[in-house]
Amino acid sequence: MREKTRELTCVVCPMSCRARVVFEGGEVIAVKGVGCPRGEAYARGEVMAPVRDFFTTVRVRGGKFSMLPVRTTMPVPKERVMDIAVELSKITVEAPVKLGQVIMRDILNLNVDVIATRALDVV
Amino acid sequence: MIQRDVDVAVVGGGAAGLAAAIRARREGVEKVLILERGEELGGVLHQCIHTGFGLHYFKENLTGPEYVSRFINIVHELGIEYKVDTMVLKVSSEKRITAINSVDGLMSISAKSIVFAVGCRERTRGSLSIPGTRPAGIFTAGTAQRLMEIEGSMPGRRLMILGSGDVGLIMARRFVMEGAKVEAVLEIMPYPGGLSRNIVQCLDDFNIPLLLGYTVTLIHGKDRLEGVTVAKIDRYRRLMPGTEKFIGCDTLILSVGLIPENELTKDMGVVLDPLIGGPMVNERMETSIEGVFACGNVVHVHDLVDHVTEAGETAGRSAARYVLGALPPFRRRLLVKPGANVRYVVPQIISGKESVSLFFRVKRPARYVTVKAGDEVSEFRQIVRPPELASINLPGGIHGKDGRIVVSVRRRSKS
Repeated sequence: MREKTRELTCVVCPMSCRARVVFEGGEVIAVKGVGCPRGEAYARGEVMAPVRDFFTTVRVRGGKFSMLPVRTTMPVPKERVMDIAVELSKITVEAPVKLGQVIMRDILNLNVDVIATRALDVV
Repeated sequence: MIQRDVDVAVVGGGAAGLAAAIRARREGVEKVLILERGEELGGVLHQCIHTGFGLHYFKENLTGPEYVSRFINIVHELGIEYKVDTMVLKVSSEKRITAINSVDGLMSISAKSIVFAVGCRERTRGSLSIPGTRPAGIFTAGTAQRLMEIEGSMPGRRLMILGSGDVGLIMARRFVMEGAKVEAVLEIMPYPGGLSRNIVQCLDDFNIPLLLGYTVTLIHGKDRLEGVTVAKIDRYRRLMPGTEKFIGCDTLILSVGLIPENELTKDMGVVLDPLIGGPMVNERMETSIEGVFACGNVVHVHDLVDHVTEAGETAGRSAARYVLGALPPFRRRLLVKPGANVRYVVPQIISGKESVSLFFRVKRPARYVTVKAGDEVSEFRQIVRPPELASINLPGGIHGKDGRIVVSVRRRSKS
């Protein structure tokens, strides 16, 4: 197998190191250009299995406002962000809503729940 | 007209005001009243649905609504009085507040102490003087955020974003997630205005181009925006001829900075810092008028809400002590001044007696620098950037030089 290199910007701290991750046969063999162990861990994760915090708003019926902010309980795979957004654009939640209330359990079989990030009273 | 007497009146019920009111009550002040212009407590955090809040204060990664809900719940638990949908019209130098809402009508509230926590507002097209027509479809980033995240309206389908501050970057991602197309983000400076985390996760993740050294030079469209002319800007902020190009779009989002909101404080005679437009404060967050305090984005624009909360707590504690007669007079005064590569420093006045954190913002990004506060403190920093508020801790017993302390950032000297 041939060596491959991917460059990325570390986002762990404001230094914004330019990391070069060298991998061979699907395994990271070296991380260059980062100044600390946290940066190395970030660069490895970002190359092998990048994840993102997920949050959006969903429609709500009968509430004080027409949108309810939600998040996933855990970060999700980066490449599934748009899929989750599309899935949540299909639903309408009924007010009242409690802070932390589960809006959708195990969305797209990703082992994460979608929860409300605020309470929303009825009008 | 309703006449009221309160101990501490807090103007503004966002992150700063909530922290101030809670702290004032916990210090033992009975009559605390929060006056909030919006329809609910919490301010702008309700529309900041993204994560990244509370990492310092709670050691947790929260969304804006989650962060502010914690403080709103404490206000309820402590039974602190508040009035929403209430506009403060005037504050006299004798600390008499004139306010109005549709339930109480006109009110005259006499306060022993006042905390200003009214925040800031966004710069608009008018403050940039962009030439062209005046069509619909030009929004500030915060207004677009409110429309989308609270009111449920999409500002447009094909967008351009001017300014690469964090709000603009965060909105770029949200537009794409909601099915719109973002043509590009333009930044007049040669470096991005937002955190690199947001450049990566809001722009790179969604393949949104960032054009550095560009600005909008002309607005096109009659009823609705049809497009903008963009052009490259040189290092002296001059337009480079021949670089103009037309980009079609139905919406232009402006993320071009925030201005502290100081009509009330100015009218009552509070001395403002001309560098940032907010009230000059000492380390107690006290303004030039005794018993009048200020905290949060009305003083200077913060990038982390955690710091806003801390400033609110300081202001609330000081206001409570003032009311309880436990705040000793502020005697020795040292002026804190910005030096090399420093745009501003807060607080602007310190006693020098006790240890204090000085918050400052640099003018230009720099690596491997020495931050100096007078001759007393000198600290090394790997990097400083204008979007990130920096701080340096001064110990107590500082004397300064000619009544002042200068904070400067210089390339690390070789030794």
